[in-house]
Amino acid sequence: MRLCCDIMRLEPHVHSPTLECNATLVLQNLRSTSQTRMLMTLYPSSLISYGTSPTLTLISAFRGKVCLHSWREPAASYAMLQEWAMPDQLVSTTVTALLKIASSHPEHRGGAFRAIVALVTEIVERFKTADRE
Amino acid sequence: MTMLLRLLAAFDVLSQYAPAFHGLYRAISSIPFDWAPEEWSQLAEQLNALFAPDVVERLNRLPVDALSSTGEDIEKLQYIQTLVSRYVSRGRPLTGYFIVCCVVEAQWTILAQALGRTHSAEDIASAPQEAEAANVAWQKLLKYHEPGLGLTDSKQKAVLLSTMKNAMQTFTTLLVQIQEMDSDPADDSYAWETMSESLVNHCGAHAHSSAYGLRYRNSLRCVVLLWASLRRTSMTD
Repeated sequence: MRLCCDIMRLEPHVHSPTLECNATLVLQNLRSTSQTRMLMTLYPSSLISYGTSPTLTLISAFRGKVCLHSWREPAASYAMLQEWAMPDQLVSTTVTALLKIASSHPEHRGGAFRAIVALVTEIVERFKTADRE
Repeated sequence: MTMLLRLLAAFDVLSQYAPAFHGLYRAISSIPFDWAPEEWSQLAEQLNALFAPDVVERLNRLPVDALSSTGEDIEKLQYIQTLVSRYVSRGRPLTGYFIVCCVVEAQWTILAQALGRTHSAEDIASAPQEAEAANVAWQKLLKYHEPGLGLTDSKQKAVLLSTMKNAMQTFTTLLVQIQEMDSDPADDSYAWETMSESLVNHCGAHAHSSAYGLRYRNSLRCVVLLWASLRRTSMTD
């Protein structure tokens, strides 16, 4: 994971499907909150090279609330992972995880939903002011 | 502002937020989930802001700016041009029209599931795939002819109404564009071709092009669902 993050930090404009896949799989396979925290500390300096990332808000809104161990992406969708950019994959994977967690752990439903609302709020605000500053 | 300055000011919108929104849309339309009516209402209220014409216009301009800019900040420009080209080549141009398309599909997918919670989806065959939630929700609607029990909360009804207005407006705009396509397809062809390429490839092509067909299908589904929901909702008054 570190290796993959380092490559991304050094080569932010590289859109390697393999790299994107690896990083996404890393996120999917998180097994504990401590790993989520580790990822949190790695992402700001490594994966996200420009600007701020809505994904970070999403993950931090949910951080520490739940373990992601119950969820895994079916292997069939592996091919789909190669299509899109990192923020896209991260949000899709994270929201998918949040929805699946909310389904299987009703006690976390409120937290998961609030995280999604926070993400939508942030994106809508930024879209509304796109090139105004 | 020059085109480049405008682009750089909105750099993170194209490089982070638009792809992030697309990721959100993919998750919502793919993952079947028993959304609650109040959850739909809360999300729809926020998403409705993206129908505003000035927002759509501004977002329409950004990818075009990106692809036609030349300038000093080569690294950033290359980065954004690679990203935008990649999305355009996969039929998702990240324009304002495209974002509205995603909003429409995400909204009706959530609403259909929120209203149809009592309907069974047992005998609807589906494999995990992109847009699975949207497909299952639509098949359920076709099967039961009613979206569900309707909404009773007055705030939710208000959101339903404003969503309906937005969807109707989008649908009208789209019809006008299709008519204009017939007479003058060459007008600003880049924007026309790419403004809303297909959201997903599994949908059959429609009349003029698959892009228009898909937008048409999505808007139509949204309008049909909203209409049925409104009728159902006013019946419960």
